[in-house]
Amino acid sequence: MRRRYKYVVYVIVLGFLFWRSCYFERLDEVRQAQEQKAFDPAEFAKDFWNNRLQRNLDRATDARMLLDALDADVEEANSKYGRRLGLAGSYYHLLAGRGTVVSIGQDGVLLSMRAPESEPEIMIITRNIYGNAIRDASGLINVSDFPNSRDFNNISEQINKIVMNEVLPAFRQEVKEAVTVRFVGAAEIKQDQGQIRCLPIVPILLEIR
Amino acid sequence: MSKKALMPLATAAIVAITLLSGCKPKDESRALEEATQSKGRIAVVISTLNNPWFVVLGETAAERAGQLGYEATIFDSQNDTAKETDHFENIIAAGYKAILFNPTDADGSISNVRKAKVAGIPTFCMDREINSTDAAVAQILSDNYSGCVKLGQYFVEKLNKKGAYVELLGLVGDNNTWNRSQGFHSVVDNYEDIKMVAQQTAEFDRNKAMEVMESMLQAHPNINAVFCGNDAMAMGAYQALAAAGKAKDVMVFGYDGAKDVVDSINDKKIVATVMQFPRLMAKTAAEWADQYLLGETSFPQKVPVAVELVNQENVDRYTAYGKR
Repeated sequence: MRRRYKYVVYVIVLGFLFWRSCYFERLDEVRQAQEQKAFDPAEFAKDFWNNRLQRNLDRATDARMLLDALDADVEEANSKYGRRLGLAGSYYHLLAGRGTVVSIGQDGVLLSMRAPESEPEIMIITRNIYGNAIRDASGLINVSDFPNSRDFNNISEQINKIVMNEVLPAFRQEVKEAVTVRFVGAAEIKQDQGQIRCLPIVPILLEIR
Repeated sequence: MSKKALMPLATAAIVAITLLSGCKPKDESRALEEATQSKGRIAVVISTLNNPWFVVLGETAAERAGQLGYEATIFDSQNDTAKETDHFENIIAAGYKAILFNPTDADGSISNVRKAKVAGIPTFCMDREINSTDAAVAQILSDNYSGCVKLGQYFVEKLNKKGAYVELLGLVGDNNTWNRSQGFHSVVDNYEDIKMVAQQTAEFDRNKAMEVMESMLQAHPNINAVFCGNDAMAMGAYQALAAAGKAKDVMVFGYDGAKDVVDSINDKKIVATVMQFPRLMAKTAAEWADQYLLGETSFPQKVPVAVELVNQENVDRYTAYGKR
């Protein structure tokens, strides 16, 4: 009987020790938490968005002019109006324009910049935003300033969150077919891209008129 | 004209002919000697030669350095920072002119690069990053994050926005591991019906990946996909799945563009990978080292190199480690 109590006590003590000494966490989350102590990508992205990016939106290329240039020669249009990061096969463009809403889909809102009846030329992406389009199209953030490229990539994720949380919700609610939209956004265009039928852009500014 | 008068002319002619005939071969031989003489030695330090991808990176760097007139030697760090430190000490002592470097650890390798810098030996990083912007002359790196954003989008499409998957991570001390994982999760984590049921490192190693995959399959027999941080692990995971009779039920995604994975995509065994361009990175590093040694000093610190998604629909455009 006494021996049984002894075993029960051992099991409880061992269980307590195991419970207090072992826990599981996701490796990527632990790593991210450690890195964020040194660099705050959310704070950086917020400052970039509010101060540096907004002041530079007037540098955006006219969207109709860009599409015409791309139609004529993608490589020339890319090197003339776009920005390339390192030895990349893609160029990023900051572009602005005005168009009429032709249709509203699950992934985006299609705009025509020529006439309401014509084919859409621009798709404002309204689903989840991924990648580095705004960061790299802006030309305002230099990868060589970041000792750890993970910080550089974290900035993109935070910028994309700003678009998803601050730019898109109101737009999705208010947009209707046939309204006019003024936009400023960023687009990725590959050097070997064929004919562009409808250019997807990540929005920075959207105004419904 | 008297014989006396001809003597100085004859002497001058003989001297002129001797000088002309003597000089020409001497100049030619010097030029030939300079062309064949090495410009010095360049060290190519590679994290591991246990993975064919890094063999291509190292051999291409050495070959390009050789074409540029240097004697190139490849050092294998065997994924061991201590061995890498030994290599750097030997390289500094032996008076190499430059180092083309594929680091083992983003933090742990910084001190080696700094030591080389103090010794006046420039270092050019290839494929893997060090967490410093003032140690290496330049760092030529794959844009792993963007590559895995593309892979993540394709992953979501192939899973039809729902399913369970596991992730095999690379070396935890390497930034490529985390940039790939982060790019992938920046897409996939937005889909609440896609669940990651396990995540574990297999250190970029094929055999370890096989072992890890075997144990993961015991704990999670009903997964739909596995995302691997490199192609060696994708091959290891595929072997484990094949041994368990699940190769057709579980989709395997890799990263690198290694020969066996490009072949496996062709054979419809592996779903997709991301093509990096090791030859481009290695050649650029060797050429920049040459330019630096010839006096050029202005290089960008970090240079991302584009990567491309390779899947069963576009695999015919690619070959091992590059485009057709």
